[in-house]
Amino acid sequence: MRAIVGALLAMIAVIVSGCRDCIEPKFQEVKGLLDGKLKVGDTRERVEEVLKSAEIGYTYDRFSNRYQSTVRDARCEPYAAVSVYVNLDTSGKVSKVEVSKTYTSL
Amino acid sequence: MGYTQVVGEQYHTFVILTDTETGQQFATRAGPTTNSFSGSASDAGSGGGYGFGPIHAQTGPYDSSFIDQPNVVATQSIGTIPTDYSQAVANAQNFANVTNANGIPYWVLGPNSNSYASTFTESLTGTRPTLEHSAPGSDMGTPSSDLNYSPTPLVTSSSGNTQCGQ
Repeated sequence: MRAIVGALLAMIAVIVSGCRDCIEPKFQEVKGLLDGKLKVGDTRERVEEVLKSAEIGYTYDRFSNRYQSTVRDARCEPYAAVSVYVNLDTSGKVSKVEVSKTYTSL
Repeated sequence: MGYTQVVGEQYHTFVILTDTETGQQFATRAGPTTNSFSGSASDAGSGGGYGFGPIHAQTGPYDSSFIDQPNVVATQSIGTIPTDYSQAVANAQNFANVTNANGIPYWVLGPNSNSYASTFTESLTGTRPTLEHSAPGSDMGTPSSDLNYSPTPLVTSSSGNTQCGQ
């Protein structure tokens, strides 16, 4: 049983870790793009324009008043991605742009 | 309950809420904050999770922009609760916020994403779900006393209704 658990842990560790952080270049690319093109106070139309021009698919989350995107890198395993949240304030203007690396494991 | 395959027959789970009137769907999930397998036991004391960092919870509309969506290999219907859809979504958001605020160190065998999904389901329905696929860590965790809602018991239970290959 210990051997099985150990093997499982090792396999998952390799899957999640990889030899390097494969999603890092995509994360830097997306973060750089959005940091450069979006700022606090931008309109909803501007957000959609920027995301469309970058070919980043998105959904508006009416419950959180924000745009949601997941950006993947075809060169990476599907266990890592870049999460994007563009938060709006009550007047519909950008209040915060969040770009983070997201991982999937057990 | 949504399933994505991680390794062999071991699955990552997340929770999908469906509005029975409109079909709208919203989901919540968790995972490690980092992909590092390095670190030490002392990391856990600072929320390090032995190098995986604390559990990171997310919520959002369940469509192609949701992190788990493209990799789903099966879904399991848990049942129906007599709660307004927007209230159930608010509960998912509260559960994610409380989880993130608590800084729970992630570990592969739990507490992990499966602990998160099953504990959220329990907090929502009062019943721990019986999963149809192996999800290590799903037996760990109890709903936090910091949650701002109480369970609403299931009015229909749909265990055994698995759809594969979605």
